Amino acid sequence: MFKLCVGLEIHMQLLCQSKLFCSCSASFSSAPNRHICPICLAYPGAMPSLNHQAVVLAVRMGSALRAQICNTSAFDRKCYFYPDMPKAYQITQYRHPLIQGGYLDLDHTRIRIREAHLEEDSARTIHYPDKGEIGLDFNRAGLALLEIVTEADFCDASQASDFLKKLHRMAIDLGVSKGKMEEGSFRFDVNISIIPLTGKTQGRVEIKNLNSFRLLEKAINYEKIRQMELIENGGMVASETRSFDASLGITVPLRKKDSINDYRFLPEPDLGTLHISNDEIEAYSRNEALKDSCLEQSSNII
Amino acid sequence: MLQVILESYQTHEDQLHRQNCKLNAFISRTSLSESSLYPSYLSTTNPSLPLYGISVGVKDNIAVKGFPLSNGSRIMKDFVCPYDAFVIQKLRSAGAWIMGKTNMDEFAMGSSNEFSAFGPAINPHHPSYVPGGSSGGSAVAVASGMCSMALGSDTGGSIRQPASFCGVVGIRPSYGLVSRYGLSAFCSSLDQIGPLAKDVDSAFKLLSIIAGHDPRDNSSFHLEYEQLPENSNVTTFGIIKELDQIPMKDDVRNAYEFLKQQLSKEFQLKELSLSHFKYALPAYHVICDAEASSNLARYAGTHLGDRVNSTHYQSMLKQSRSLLLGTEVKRRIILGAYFLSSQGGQDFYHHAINAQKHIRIEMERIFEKVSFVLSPTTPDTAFRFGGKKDPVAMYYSDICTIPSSLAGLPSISIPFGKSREGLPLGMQIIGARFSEKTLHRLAKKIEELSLV
Repeated sequence: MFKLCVGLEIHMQLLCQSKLFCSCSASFSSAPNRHICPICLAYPGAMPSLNHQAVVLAVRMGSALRAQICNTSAFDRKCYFYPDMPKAYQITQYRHPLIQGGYLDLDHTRIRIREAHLEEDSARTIHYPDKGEIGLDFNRAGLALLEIVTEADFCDASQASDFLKKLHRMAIDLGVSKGKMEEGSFRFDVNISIIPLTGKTQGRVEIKNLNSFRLLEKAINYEKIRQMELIENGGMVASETRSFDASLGITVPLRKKDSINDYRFLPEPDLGTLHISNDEIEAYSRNEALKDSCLEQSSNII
Repeated sequence: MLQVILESYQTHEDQLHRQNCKLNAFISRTSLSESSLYPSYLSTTNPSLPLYGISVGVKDNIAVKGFPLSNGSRIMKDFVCPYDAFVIQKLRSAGAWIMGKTNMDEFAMGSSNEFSAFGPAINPHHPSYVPGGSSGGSAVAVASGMCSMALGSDTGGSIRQPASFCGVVGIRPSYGLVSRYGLSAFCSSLDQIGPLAKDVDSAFKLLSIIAGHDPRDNSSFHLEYEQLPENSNVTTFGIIKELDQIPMKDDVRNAYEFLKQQLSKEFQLKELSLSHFKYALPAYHVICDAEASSNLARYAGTHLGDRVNSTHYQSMLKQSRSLLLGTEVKRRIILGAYFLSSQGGQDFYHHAINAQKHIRIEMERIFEKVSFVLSPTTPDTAFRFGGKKDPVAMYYSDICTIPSSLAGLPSISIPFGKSREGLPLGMQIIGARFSEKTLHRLAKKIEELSLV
């Protein structure tokens, strides 16, 4: 006897005019490196300034999910080396996310939201396999993302897919995100584990960067069978990150979780605490038009 | 008037030409700072501007458009900066002339200038002695008359210590008074840009120009220099007991005792305790290294900095950073990464932040009782090249300057006589946050006493 446990992490690009920490345009450009500046290129000395429009949109989404919007939240540096990360750290909200709790009801189930937070997007890597080179397009670097993390409340693939469809619709209707999956403005990771009703606890598999509901269902169903067969044959499911190969319809290992990345989180010293009053939360949640003058960044200085 | 300005500039330019090959104060000058352009700059600049005609040296970790921004490092030696720092915009609108970029310890990590990838700057008072660091090039440039004033940056003493070693005035402003936008980050929560100059008035003049609110730096305070408070009723000087008791070179001790004695004629001297003093140096290094490990991670050979080519990203990254970063920088990055790692290291960071909090609170209490705190800037005078091989001995050079850095307080080093070998001595005054205007008045007083 087994129970399937599925959780989702959704990255939605917020529908802002500019990037999360600089004034570069956030509009989509197919020509690479058109929307760049010293801040999103991480040039020495350039410092981030929070785009308050992103806060407004995140609050609106959070309220629609019946979540608690925190009056104070903060930013952290998540440090890791990867060519698409210009500072070699991502500014995210690790210790004090903006949004906590919340839920979204499906027909027969309530899916709980664990938290949601603001973070910046990475650059886009362009592979040139024939030349053995990788190109970097920084148009995407620094775009505002809202990452929404659910509890592992899904027990099958169709539920996960229904949830995503509903969330996607909401985000578009609320004007929070364009939701264009082909442009990467709405993408998701899925965590899949099997809980045997008797026997040993099994590992958890994460599948990264899916951008279609159909692929999500396929990936979950494939993993479910793969993991069940492993357990039935007396094996153990390893905690790892896998990717879904759409052409073969299978998941393949990317990296083991036991060599887990140590992200060396550090409170972001260049951004103060983010304070939002209850009045602001109420105004942003009511879907009010942005009043430029009152959107000065409110942050304290220690 | 114009003649005077031209002559003064020519003196600096001649000095630079003659001396820089020996003193290594400036590490880059571009076509933008060519002396042939100076007359046309004068004719196109408004003569009533406060820094009209004044030549300013800029530490090479501050962004100046069209100039290199090497940070004293091999990895960034070919980087030409496309934008101006806030302080440079301020300098330009005050009519200043940028003389060039000055030498520094790599990424501002060091107290002797020996960690510059361009070779160290040399103390103009004696060629076998270090100028101090990390803003050594700026201190040497001012002390040797290659420019009128200079900008440096101070994280734990990087303006005050070289100012003291070279016999010039150096100010570390209150954290948040001067925007850090355009200053290459080393330890963001402690870094500050500040002025170095020959005398107290000039240093504060430069400070008054570069200070002010900048919306692009979130830690920048909503305060212009003119709005700073002034306290006309200064009656007491504080002496921090723990700082008073550290071992000091005899000449430093004598000058310090002499100054105390002179000041006691006019002010009440009060001894106070900073019970967390012993944690200042270790806490400072844990915080700095932790922040530095993230701030310097961007120099990875991808889009920033030179690289060692390789077929794989990981080996390119490893080889570029191994080869192109200096030993001290790598030491601190590795320590910093450890302090933030989940394998037990994180405790160090939290303890250090906690210690900093205690020091800050204690310092605030001290300034409820006294207007200013006096100490030597360094326990030692300039030392010989190669004289401090042990990193911890080198770190100890900042023992007097670190407490005010951790507490975000303004402090100034004022030249105060010379040692028997003819090396300059410096005295430090620390003030309450944003007390710069009053600090100016008292620094003048000490400057006058130094001439007695």
